[in-house]
Formats: sequence, structure tokens, C-alpha cells
Amino acid sequence: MPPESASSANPFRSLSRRRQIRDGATTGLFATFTYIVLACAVVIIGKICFDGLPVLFKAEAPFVNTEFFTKKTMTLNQFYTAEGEMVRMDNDDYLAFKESNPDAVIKDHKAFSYAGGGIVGPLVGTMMLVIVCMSAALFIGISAAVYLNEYAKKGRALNAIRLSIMNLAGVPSIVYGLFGAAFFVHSPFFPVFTHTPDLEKALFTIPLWPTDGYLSFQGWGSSVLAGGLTLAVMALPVIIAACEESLKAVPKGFREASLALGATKWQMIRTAVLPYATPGILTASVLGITRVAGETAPIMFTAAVAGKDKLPWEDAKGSGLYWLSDMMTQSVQALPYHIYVVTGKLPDDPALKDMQYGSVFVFLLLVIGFAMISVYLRARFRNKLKW
Amino acid sequence: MSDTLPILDSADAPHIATNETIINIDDLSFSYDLGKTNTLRNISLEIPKGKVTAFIGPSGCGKSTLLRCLNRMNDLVDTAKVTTGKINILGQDINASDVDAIELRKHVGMVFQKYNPFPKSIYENVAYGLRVQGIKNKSILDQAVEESLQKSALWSEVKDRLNDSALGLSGGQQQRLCIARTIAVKPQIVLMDEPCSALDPIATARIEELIAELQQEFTIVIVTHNMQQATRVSDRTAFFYLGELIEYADTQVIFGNPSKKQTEDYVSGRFG
Amino acid sequence: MAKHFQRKGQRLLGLDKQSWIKGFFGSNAGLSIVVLFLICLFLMIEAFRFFPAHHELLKVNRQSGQEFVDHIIDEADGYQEFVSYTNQAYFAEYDERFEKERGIKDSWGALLGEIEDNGEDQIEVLEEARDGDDPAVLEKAEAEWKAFLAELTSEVDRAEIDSFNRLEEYPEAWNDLLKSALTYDPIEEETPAFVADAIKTQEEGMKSFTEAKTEITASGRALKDLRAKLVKITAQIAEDVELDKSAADRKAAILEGAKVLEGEAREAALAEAEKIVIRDEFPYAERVKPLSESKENHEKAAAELREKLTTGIAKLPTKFQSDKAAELVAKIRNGREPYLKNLDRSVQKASEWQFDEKVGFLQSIAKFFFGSKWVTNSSWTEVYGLGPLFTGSIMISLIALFVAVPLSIGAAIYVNRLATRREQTLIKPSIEMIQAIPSIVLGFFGIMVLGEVLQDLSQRPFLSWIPGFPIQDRLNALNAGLLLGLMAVPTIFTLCEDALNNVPRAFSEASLALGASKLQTVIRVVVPSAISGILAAVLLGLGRVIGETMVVLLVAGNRIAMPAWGDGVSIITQPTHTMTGIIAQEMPEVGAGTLHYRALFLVGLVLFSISLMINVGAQKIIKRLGHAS
Repeated sequence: MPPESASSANPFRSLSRRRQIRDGATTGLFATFTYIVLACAVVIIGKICFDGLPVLFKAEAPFVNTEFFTKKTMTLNQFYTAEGEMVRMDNDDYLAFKESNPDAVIKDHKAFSYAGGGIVGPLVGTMMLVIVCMSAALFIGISAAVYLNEYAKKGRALNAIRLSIMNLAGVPSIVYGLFGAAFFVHSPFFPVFTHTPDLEKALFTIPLWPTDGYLSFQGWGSSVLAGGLTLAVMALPVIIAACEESLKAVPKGFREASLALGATKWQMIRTAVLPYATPGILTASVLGITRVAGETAPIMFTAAVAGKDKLPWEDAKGSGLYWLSDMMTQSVQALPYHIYVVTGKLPDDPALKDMQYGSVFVFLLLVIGFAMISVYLRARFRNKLKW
Repeated sequence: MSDTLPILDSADAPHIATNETIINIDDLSFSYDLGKTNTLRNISLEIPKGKVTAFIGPSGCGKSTLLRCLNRMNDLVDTAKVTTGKINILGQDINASDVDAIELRKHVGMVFQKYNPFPKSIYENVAYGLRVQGIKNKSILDQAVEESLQKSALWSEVKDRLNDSALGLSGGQQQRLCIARTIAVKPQIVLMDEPCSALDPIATARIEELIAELQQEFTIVIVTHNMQQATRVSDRTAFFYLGELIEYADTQVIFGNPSKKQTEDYVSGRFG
Repeated sequence: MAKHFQRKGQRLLGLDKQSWIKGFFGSNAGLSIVVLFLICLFLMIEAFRFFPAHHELLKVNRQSGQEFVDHIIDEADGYQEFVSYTNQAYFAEYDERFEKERGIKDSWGALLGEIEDNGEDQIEVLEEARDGDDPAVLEKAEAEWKAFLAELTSEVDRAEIDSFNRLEEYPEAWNDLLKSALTYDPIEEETPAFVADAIKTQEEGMKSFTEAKTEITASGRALKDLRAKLVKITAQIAEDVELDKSAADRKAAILEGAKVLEGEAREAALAEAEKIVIRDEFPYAERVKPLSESKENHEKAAAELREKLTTGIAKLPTKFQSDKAAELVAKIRNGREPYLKNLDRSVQKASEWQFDEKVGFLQSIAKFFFGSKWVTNSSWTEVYGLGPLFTGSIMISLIALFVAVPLSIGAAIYVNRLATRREQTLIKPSIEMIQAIPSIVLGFFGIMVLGEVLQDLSQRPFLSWIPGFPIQDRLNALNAGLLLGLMAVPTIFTLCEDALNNVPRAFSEASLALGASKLQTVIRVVVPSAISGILAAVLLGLGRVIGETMVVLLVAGNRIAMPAWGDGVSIITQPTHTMTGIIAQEMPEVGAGTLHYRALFLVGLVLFSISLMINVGAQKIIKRLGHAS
């Protein structure tokens, strides 16, 4: 080989300009794809915040539109005064206004159902649904995961169960809604405490002496319980899978060490497994619940109703158990369903805009807020618990 | 042994065993964390062309790091940084701004500790380096594949199943395939990072034979854990300890009459 | 001896504490498994009960002759479409070519209306004056009339008279009209010459088109009449069948009621009960006779339709000034051949109809899965065919994947292999955060923002090369598909990224050491090694998209029809309906246990099976291809 004239020719200089250009262009393309996705998300969230913020906040003290959070959903009235000025009023204000100004000129009066007032009804309804869903899904889901991972015999049956649970996680939410409708809503297997049983629907009733009420097996109808449990069933596969993952992440050594020191199986689980798996279990479960709580399809025909004048506890009759039972078997408004009603079911009109964007903004805030909290918690626990 | 070797075309074959220096490392310090701590400290060393140079030393002494500096594989680590000094290969500072690491790696090939053929056919594995250079001509590829497989003493074993997955070969065959893949690009230098550590003794022996044959054509730098291997295959040996070059000399000197106490302790098995 | 290692602790019902704890967890696991099993069970029970009821429905349809009439309705509907297209084309062309003439004609008419409405009194006075023979009165009346006209013409606003603004660009024509109006004589009622000219010009210009239009309109008249007649008969039969079914119950109810009545009322009730005839079997044979006898008429009407439609369409002009007219006529011409083919088939089937022929059970199953119609809100009939819903779901999913697959795979490659560390830590959680956006919010965005934006964009001329642009309906498959695409991105992205992450580092190191660039390494080594994971990711993305409800319910447009395949790719901008959407839309309105309710459960079961197949498929892919590498 001729001696390298090192100073003049660099043997490793870049040779292929074309390759560099091609590489650069392709990388750029991939980067563009990535940023397109992010841009879409930013545009969607930005648009909703931009139009939703003014509904929630106002210029003068107390700066927050408290009415939006405290009033019930009601009809919105829109009319023109004698001066041709457009006025929009919630129904209660409107009735009061008409009462106090019987001669006021009202032109072009239009009424929009569900578009006025605030969203306390939907907020409360969603909260109740989530509470029912969470208590059922977490309790059953976590214990099932503990059983499957710690107690159940390894083998084909266990694998088959795991596989079916995994597959059910991919079933469309509307199918869970159908199931909820057939099982919780229409089938008569579920009892209610009531003074006036629906004898036509009831499978049988048990009189509850000494009160004058009955335990009536008549099904729950479209109700908080039916909807919440439908959501819980939907969350179950996700929660079981996530919990099992957290339990699996606890090193086998912990268990063996505990058993070797003379612990019973339950002591081992309580002291050597659960403490280390709990953070993972909780964050994953919260994430699962958040995702389920954001669903509309499963509650559409198991719990949700378009409008309601009273909050569930204001509407419940009886006392004690009867009151509780009556409250839990009422249908409720729910935030996602409310959004569907004001955007999908009502004819489009500018008068609806405040209610539409306000509700969506609040909903998005709640869901993304919870998701962020759980992602943050997960990251923190992950850094803390390393073995 | 050399009788059986294919006669090399002298035009593209580098001369054998001159005293020319091909790699010149000058006062090199290297850090994996942007200069906070130096993994390698003030290393200076000249590697002769056409010979086998071995890097030995206990785990974590920096020998593999130094090897990966030579073809700039450390670029993959974001926080890696050459803090002082230079590496000149073929007279060119390889960390200069006008050096393209990709071109550099075409000249400085590498064989890894764990054999790592791609999940492709045997043929495609060997042809890979040429294909990424844009060579599409089938006959050129065919020829290069055959030549490389022959040089790596694998041809007779695989010539009937070139289109089978490379992952179906035995471990030793896979490692020889990786060597074939590396030399197919016709590098001038071949870096070997403990190429036999994942292999059984028989496969190891075959690789060592192969190294001896390849030495005819390539400059080889080999990192090894195994001191017997270093004595068997290398001409020169460098001993590293805790990121520093302790001693660098002919292999017989290092193993027979080392000048430093640490070297002697190590080669005699007192630590390491 | 073994005393040392005996179990300690209290026992309850023969079980110790450990067993109770195990039992507690076990029962919860059992409960969840039972619930998950119940899902399948309930779905299947409700869904499979659809088939017998559906079979019954089809049987009644056949016996009552509805099946026969349905053929005629379809044929007539198709014909009606031709008429409507022809009319649209006609008026489009008319407006384009004779805007001024039409404006003159219509405005003249409106102007006369205005004169006659406002000048009623004056006209009366004038009339009387003319009939009388006092010249002074006459002169005064004439002068007053002139003054009235002058005032009216000075006050009249063109925009009000010329309501379609046809004369906006022809002020001189408008002035001519006003001038003629000044000399208008309400008794002679003479049309000014230039108005008459305008009328004549347009009539002549549109002559051939008018003829064609008349012929096309006339072609199906006989069929339409036949349809009207037969629908009435069949509806009556259906009503009587219902009455027959409830006859026994009604009679019993009246007799029961009569027990408490006395005297005349009782007599009347008994007489009424007597009138109710309880038959074992409805006399279909007799009742459907008029239908069977109409077969010939039907064939004749169809033949007439065929002939006149062909000649009518042949008479349509070939050159147009209006683009819209040209487009519509092209549509008519292209549509003729398939329509006539369908017509022949339909006539053939109608002729083969026999009220007493058996309906096979398999046929009723096939009709559900392959039927191309889903009609539930009509008083006339119920039809359950999965076709339009299935194609709608698939179409939207394909659009979504078309968008999502390149975006998410590109993004995954970028984030996993090419981006800087900083970008990675920012982008990954952001994309995962998209997954947290509930579908109702995306649907909301689609209905409020994207629909309009897309429609506006589609009207830009420089985008008109895209098939389906300009978009007719704001809510359509494309809109829904785009949103679902965005929704599928996080799913596909996350799984792809995992798959890329699992590619051993050794592969990329080896590639780089051979002198490949970063990108070459990614494309030639990393992506092929991860291909099974990527494929599975795409499949699971499809599963997510196909099962999504709220976005399609809000945004897809909810029109239940098979896509008009003839329109090619532009079907993507047509409104459509989906399997998930139909359940969400119709489920709240149906009573439990009805045929409709069960049909929706069957759709749900189909969805369930599809998602199951997709999941299992994804697992298989990972297993099979994953082992190969």
C-alpha cells in the first residue's frame, strides 16, 4: 500500500453525499410524523381549552364561574328584547324574570333543553358511577389477581384463564354496555329494597318484617348500580392484568426468604409481597379506572339519562336501607353522556356552545388530570422501588 | 498453513508484517459521563500494521472501552466523550470533525463478544455490509460472500444452505459467520472484543486458527480475558489496569519478563 | 414424634385460617371469571334467539306478499333517483344558460303580483271607468293608475322581486322591466315583447332537455301507480294478520267486560264479540290473490320503464354549460346499465315469488349476515342486514389505519432510534397522554371543528384532485376515520416502540460496526427483527378502532346504506353507519326481548367475535414470527 499522505487525504471523509441526504430526509420524515401526531393532540386540546376556559372563568371576582359547577342542568332560553338585544337565560332566571316583568317584550323566544344551568348533576352522577365501579373492580380485581398469582396452581387451566382475561380486555366497550343492559338492567336477579315492589317484573319478593317493605328481586333497571358495575366488569380484565404484573415484578427471593423464615403463606403475602406490589397495583388500577370512567358507550343504556331535575339523594324516597337502595337504583346524568346529549342529540345552535365547551373542558381536565397523576405516581414509585 | 490460503491479489492486500504503525493512540483520556470521571486515562500506544495486538487486563480495566474508541462505537452513548488526546488511524485523527464515523467503520471492522448474526439468511448476513454500501450487483455480492466465507473457513460447511437462517448455525459457526461478515467489507483493521468468551474450547480453537490466518491480511486488535489465548494468537500485548496502560510490549516479554510488578502479578494469576 | 411440625391455630368449620384466606381470594377470582363468562353467555343467549324470530318475520313477509311488493318498491325507488337527478340537472343547466331570461320571466311575474296586490282598488276604479263613458272620469282614472305605477316602480326593490338574484348582473333588463311596468295595462294584461321573447328563447333552448325530462319522468309512472296500489293491499293484509293473532284475546276481553254490563250495553258488547271471528289459519291464499295477479302488470310496467328510460336518457343533451348538470347527466348515463340489470333481476325474483313457498332457516341466517339493508324505523317493514354496517365499520377502520399506521410506526422508529434523549423523554409520555383523551371528546372535536374544517378545505380548487372532494356532508367516514386514526396512534405507537425496544442491541451494534448508517441499521436490521411485534401492534390498533363507538356515533354521519361502489375511492367522504354506532343509537329505543333488541345483540356478538379473533391473531403472530427470529 502506498504510504498514506495523511495530511492531504482523509481516508475516512464522508463519501456518499446522497446517502446523507437520503438519511436526513427519511429521518426528517419520521420526525414529521411524530410531530404531526403531537400537533393534532395540541390542536384538539388547545381548541377545547381556548373555548372552554372562558366558560369556567370570568373577569371579575371570584373569577370562577361557580354557577357552572353548582347549578343543575336545565333549559336555556334565548330571546330578543324590544331593543333587539339578544338575551340568554337559564330557565330559573327566565321564569323569575317573567314573573317580575310581566310586560317585558320577548321576541323570537327559543328554548334549548339541557343547555342551560350548570353541570352539577352530571358531575355527581359520574362521581357515583366511578365510586361504585372502583369499589367493586378494585376489591374483586386485586383479590383475583392475588389468587391467580400466589395461590392458583400453575398449569394449563391457569394459562387458559389468563388468556381469556387478556382477550376480554380488548372487547369493545359497547359490547360491555350490551351485557350490562341484559344482565344488570333487564334481568330480574338483582334485588332492591322497596316499599312498592314492581310485581310484574319481580321474580319473587321477600317481605321484610317488621318494616312494611320488601326485598324484591326485580332487577335494577337503568341505574347507578347497573352502570357502575358494568364499568367495573369492563375494568376487571385490565385491573387483574395490571395487578398480576405488579405481583410478578416482586422478586421470587422475597417470597422464598419469607417462607424460609417460617412465615405462613398469608404472612408471606402480607409482609413480603403486597407491600412491594401495592404502589404498582394502585397506580395501574387508577389508570384503568380513569380510562373506564371516560367511557360513554357502556353507560348509555345502563345508567345515563339526558336530564334530571334533582340530584340522586334529593330524589330518593324512604329511609335507611330503603333510601340507599332507592338512590342507587336511579338513573343519573353522567358527564360524558351529557356531552353526547348536548352535541350529538340536540340540533346544532350557537346558543349551545357554552354548555358544550364548558362540559368538555371540565371532563378533559378531570380525565387527563387523573391520568397524569397516575403516570406521575408510577414514575415515582418506579424510581423508589428498585431491586 | 499459509499454503492453503487463497493467494491474495497484491493490489488490495496490505503488506504483511512491516513495522509500519497503523493506529497511533496519543495521550487518550476517555469518559462515559461527559468528563466527570475518566474511564481511560492518558493512554499512549502504537499498534503495528499486519500484526495481532492483544489487550489484556482484569474486568473493568477499560480494554473494551479502548477497543470501542477505535471505531467510534462509543458514539452510541450520548454522554461518551474523549477528554484529551488523539487517536490516529492511517494517519488521520478519527475524532476530527471531518471524519465520518460510518466511513471509519468500513475501514475498522469489529467482531463482538457474543456472536450476533442478524436474523437473516447466511448469505444476507455476509452481504449486508456491501449492501449498505449500495452494492446491488448480484455477481459481485456472490463473489464477495464466497470469498469471505472461505477466508473464515466456513464455506465448506454452509455452501449448500446459504439461504438458511443464520440463527440455525452452531455458536462457533455463528461467530465465524460474524467474522466473515466483517471481512466482507474489506476493512484494514479488525477489532475483536473477546470473540471466544461465549464459545466452547473446540470452537475457540478454530477461531484462534482463523485469527492466525487472517493476520496475513488484516491488522487485528483483540481484547481477551484469557491469557493463554493472548500468548497463542498475539504478537504484541498491552496490559491495562484501572483505566491505565500499565505495560505494552511484545507478547513474549509481557508473559515472560514483564517489567512492571502489576503485570507480573496479573499474568501469574495473582489477581484478576 | 412429629409433634414439632404440627399445624397450629384455630379451626372454623373444619378449615384453618390459611384455607379461609385462600378461599376468600379464590372466591373473588372465581367471581370475576364467572362474570366474564356470563358476558359471553348473555350475549349469545340474546343473540341466538334472534334467528328463530327473524325466520318468523321472513315467513310472514313472504306469506303476506310484502316480499313481492318490496321488489317493486326497490325498483320504483331506483327510478325515482333517476327522476330526481334529471330534475336537478335540468334546473342547473337552465339556470346556467338562461339566468337572465329566467330572471326576466320570474321577475315579471312577481312584479305583476306586486302590482295586482297593491293596486286592487285602482284596478277596480279603472275598470269601472273604462266600462263607463265619462271621459273625464276615465282620464282621471288613467292618470291615477299611471301615478300608482310610477310610485310603485320607484319604490320597488329588486332583491325582493327577483328573489334568486338572477338579474343582479343584468341591471338593464331590470330597468326594461320597470319601464314596461310603467305602461302596464291591468285589463289588457299584455306581456311586453321582450319578456315574451325571453320566455320563448328559454323554452326553445331547453326543448330537447325538456322532452328527455318528460320522458324519463313518465317512464316509471305505471310502476309507481302499481306500487301505490299494492302497498295499500299488503299493509291491509299485515294489519289483518295482526288482528287475527289477537282475535281470541280480544274476544275474551270483551266477554269479560260484558259480564259487568247490563241491558243494551251488554247486548251490544256480546254482538261485537260475536263479530270477531277466530280462525285457525289466516287465509293467505285468498288475500294475496290480487298480488299474484299483478305479476303480469308488474312485468309490463317494468318493460315500459326500461324502454322509456332508455330512450329518455338517450335524448338527454350531450353538451352542457353547467358543470353540475354535466356531472349529474354522466351519473345518470353511468347508472342506467347497472340499474336495468338490477331491474331485470328484481322483476325475475318478483315473478318467482310464491306466497306458500317455504323460507329456509339458513336463508334467514344468510339474510342477516349478507343482507344489504338495515331498516328499523319504518312502519312498513323491518329488515336486518349486517352488510351496510359491516362495510361501514371496515371502511372507517381502513381509513383510520391508513392514517395511523405510517404515523405511529414512523413516530415509534423516530422516538426509539433516531430522536435525542430529550425528545424521547418528552414525546413518549405525550403520545401516551393522547390515549387518555376519552373518545367522546374526540367525537366532540369532530362534530364541532373537524367536519367544518375538512369541508371548507375540500372546497378549495387546488385540492379538488382528491377523490371525494368537495365533501357534501360535514359528517362522513373520512372525518370519523381521521379521528379514529389519531386514537389508534398511541396503541400502535406504544406496542411498536416496545417491539423495537426488544430488538437486541447486538443487532444494531453489528450493523453499525459494518459501516451502516443509523438509518440503514434501523430500516435493514431493527425493523425487520421487530416485524412481528409491529404487525401485532397494527392488528391491535385495528381492534381498538373497530370497537370504538362514540366517535363514529357522533361523526360518521349515521346513514345506513351500502357505499355507492360506483363512486370509487370517493365513497370515503360519504356518510356511513357502523356496527358499534347502530347499537348505541338504537339500543335505548328498543324494548327488551323484541326482535330488534336481539338483532342488536347479534351485532354485538359479531363485534365481540371480531375483537376476539383480532386478539388471538395478534398473539399468534407474536408467537410464530417471534420464535422464528
